Amino acid sequence: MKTKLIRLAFLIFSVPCIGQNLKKDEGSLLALKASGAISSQGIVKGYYFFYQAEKSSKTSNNYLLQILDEDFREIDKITFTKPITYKLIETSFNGAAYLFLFFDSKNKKSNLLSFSDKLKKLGDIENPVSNKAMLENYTDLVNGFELGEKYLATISDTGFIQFQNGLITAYNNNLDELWFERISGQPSEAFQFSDGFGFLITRTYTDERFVEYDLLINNPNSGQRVSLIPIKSNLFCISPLSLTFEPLKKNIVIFCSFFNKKDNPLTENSLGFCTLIYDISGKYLSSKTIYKEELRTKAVVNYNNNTDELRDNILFHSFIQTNDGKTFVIGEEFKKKTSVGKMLLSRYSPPVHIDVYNLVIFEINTTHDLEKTHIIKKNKSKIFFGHVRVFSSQQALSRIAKKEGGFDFRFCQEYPDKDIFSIVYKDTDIGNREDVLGTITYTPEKTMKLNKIRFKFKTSFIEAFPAKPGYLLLAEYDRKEKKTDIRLEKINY
Amino acid sequence: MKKKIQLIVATFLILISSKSLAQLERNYCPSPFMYVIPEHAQQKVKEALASSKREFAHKKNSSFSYLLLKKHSQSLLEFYTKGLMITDGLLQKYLQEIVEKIIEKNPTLTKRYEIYPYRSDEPNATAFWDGTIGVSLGLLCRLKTEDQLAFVICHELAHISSEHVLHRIDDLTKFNFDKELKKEIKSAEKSEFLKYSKLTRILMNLDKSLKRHIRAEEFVADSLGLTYFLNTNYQPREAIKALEVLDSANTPFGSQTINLKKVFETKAFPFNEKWLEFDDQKVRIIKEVADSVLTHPDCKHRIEVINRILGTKAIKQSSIDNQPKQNRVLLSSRYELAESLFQFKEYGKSLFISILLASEFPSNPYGVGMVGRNMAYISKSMREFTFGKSVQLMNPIYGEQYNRFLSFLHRLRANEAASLAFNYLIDKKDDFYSDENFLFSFWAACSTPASTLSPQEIKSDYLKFFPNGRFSSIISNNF
Repeated sequence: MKTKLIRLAFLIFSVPCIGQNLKKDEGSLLALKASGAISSQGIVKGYYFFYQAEKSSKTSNNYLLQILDEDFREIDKITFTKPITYKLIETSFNGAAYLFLFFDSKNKKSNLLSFSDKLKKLGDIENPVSNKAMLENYTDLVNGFELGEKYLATISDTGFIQFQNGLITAYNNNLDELWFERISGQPSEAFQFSDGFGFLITRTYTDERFVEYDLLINNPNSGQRVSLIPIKSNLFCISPLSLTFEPLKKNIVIFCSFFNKKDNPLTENSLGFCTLIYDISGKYLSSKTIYKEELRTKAVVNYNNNTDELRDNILFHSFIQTNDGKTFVIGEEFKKKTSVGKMLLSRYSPPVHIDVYNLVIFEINTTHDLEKTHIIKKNKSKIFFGHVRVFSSQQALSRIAKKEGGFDFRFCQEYPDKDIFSIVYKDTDIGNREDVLGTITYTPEKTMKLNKIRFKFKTSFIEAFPAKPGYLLLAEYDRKEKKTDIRLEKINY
Repeated sequence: MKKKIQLIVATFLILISSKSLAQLERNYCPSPFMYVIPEHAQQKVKEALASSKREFAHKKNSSFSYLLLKKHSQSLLEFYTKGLMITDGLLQKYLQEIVEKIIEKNPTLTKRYEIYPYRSDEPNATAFWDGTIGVSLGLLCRLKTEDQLAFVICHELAHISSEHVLHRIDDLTKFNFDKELKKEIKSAEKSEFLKYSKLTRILMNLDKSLKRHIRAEEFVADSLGLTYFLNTNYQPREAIKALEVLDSANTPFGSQTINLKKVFETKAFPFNEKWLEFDDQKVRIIKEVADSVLTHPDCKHRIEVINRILGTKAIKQSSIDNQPKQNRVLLSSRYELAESLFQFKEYGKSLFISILLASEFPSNPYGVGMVGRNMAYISKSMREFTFGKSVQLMNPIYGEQYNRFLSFLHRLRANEAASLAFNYLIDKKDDFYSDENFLFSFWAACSTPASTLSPQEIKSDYLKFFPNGRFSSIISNNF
């Protein structure tokens, strides 16, 4: 249900943009295929709307790409002709150029299109997609699965990196190839630092119990491999969650969940989380573990009159590093539930859902020790899966729910100076028939400030989207006026 | 005897207006929001529609034309029902007097013309086919002299006497029943390929054609309006200045500089210089709007044409700032605009005007109160995720000063805005506490989290002093 609402919001979100930026009559002729925020290094720099305009021949369509700046003002729109089996996969902005990754499902080709910040076309390259895993990923996206994985990364102002299973390729803004690196596995995370690039590589074997991870470091100019280190522990089974770079210490920090050596991370509960620290040449330096018990016993800060204790299952949404050296791990509590009552009445397997509880933030200090656990109370909400997922583990279900946008966490808003960040979430108060939009901000005074506002179901429907630092993009549908107001709203802290 | 009566009436009028004008210095009471259609206005529309129906009867496709005319009339009536028209007061009477002066010198203008200021910050004037004219507060604020205003009114009278609204309806009717156009649209809709391109091309051509007509009408109105204007005793060259004012329309109040530090610095809450940091890169132009897509022609072009008609050498641009001090009655439009924008919850714009008013008339509690009140409501809007509705984003179409002001508001945190509101007003409390507007503003500021005073006390005082006051119902609820 929630997922549906979010999708509905996304539709509502897209409709008035037509009205605002294109003429209404013109807008009604266009079919919106994709829209979203364009980010660079985690900072929203603009928005895109990708429309299918018309058939130009039996095998091709004319498409229209509209780009808005960070203030939601139109920069320009461009049209181009491409095959009818064309789908926008991902978009990126590096500070000077936009990159759009498309996939042609019939011809099994990926297409990269780059434009300057004034939307002048810079490059257009097509590559056949022969890797089986890549084909499966792209096809999933074409079939409507939400984007979970990332296939693009940026090189500040000068270029882009494309991730493919087994291959990392770097391009300049004109899409001339700079270098490439053949790897074993799927790159999933990247970061740029002054002396190189770091990548997290996931190697999945036929039996999904066996997933291994590597840290790859490349020279930024030549692309030459500096090092490739397996991420593992002799004591535990490790599942990396995030890769970050500490500019002050020039360290690479990998946050992981850890499990008993014999446990399957995809199905079992973690024992806690740990940090693995490497230098920029890939040399292992140290590690820290934080057990779940410690998460409960350390200073707990409660919000919204919370009296609940920390629950066992937490899905991690985001990892934020601030310029004071602290790391904040943002997650949401959940639990898989099976409706036994309904099972007795049904000849099918019982319907399954996930109960989603409070939002949690683990504040980790500069020495990678847990300092505080913040618990932000929310109303319990449910994500339904129907009958087919009864045998899926709760970890697997939580990942599916996250991919489909089912959790209440919306996004993290980072600031360029990295001294502040905000978390945006949406809560539903069924009793009072209200939506609650909440923000939690780590302030310059190094405190957490919560702000929330209620919207009556009866009068409006709201959804929040990422925006430039300090703001969120609020879409507010007025049920009486039947109008959607889209505006940038300042985050209060 | 007749002359004697005229003299007495004139003296009486002067006495009334001088009393009203004193409001600018000592106090100001804005016109109330009336959400009703005055009986005479409703009757006028009714009569005009009935007579048009008779006139349309012999025309082709008359029912469609009549429908459009009804829609046009509906938009006029909405000006009343939405509380936009200011149907009474000094400003309205002043405008009507100017209309009478123009009519007196132009006997060809025989309709019953009625003019009202309307609540909008957009500098604009509008003419309805029944003889009603609206002049926005945004335009009145910018005009400096009666002569400039008279030219604007002449322009609108020319639209009415040339029946431009009816011409536009004729154009739309013609397009609506154009067989060739219908055929073209049908063929585009049926086409398998390039449907969007074909339809947008048709729409663009249609749009261009309509705009071409509208722009041509503007030149006609300028030219005929100038003829009316030259028949009066107003200064001809003020016509050019009026167009220059329109040309500078996007810059709120020219380039007035506001010293925000001077306004908000208090001992209890020192001003933070960081709030004034301004990144002009953030207000860069991203896309120029071509003149051809606008309904009105470029003012510079219109100035050239009028100059040619006047037969004088072109007057240098940007002479607005060197113009004389604003006419006293026109000045009151700034108070009305500050109040209107506050009522429309456009607190950023209202605050900008209020700061200017408070600087110019520091002993008038209205402007001072509005500064604190707007800031208190801005703080509230930040907490309630409505700031984006109340305060604009910076934009290159505004002047640098206004963008600096917006940048300041966007840099404030909710508690800082609340502190600025509270400390600003508490400093002025002793001078203005007995004023109704000020007291309401003070209650708003005391209701913010930054207040060290109880809003309940202020509320009790307000209800004691003004039991039937303008804000009694608002103040009875929570902030």
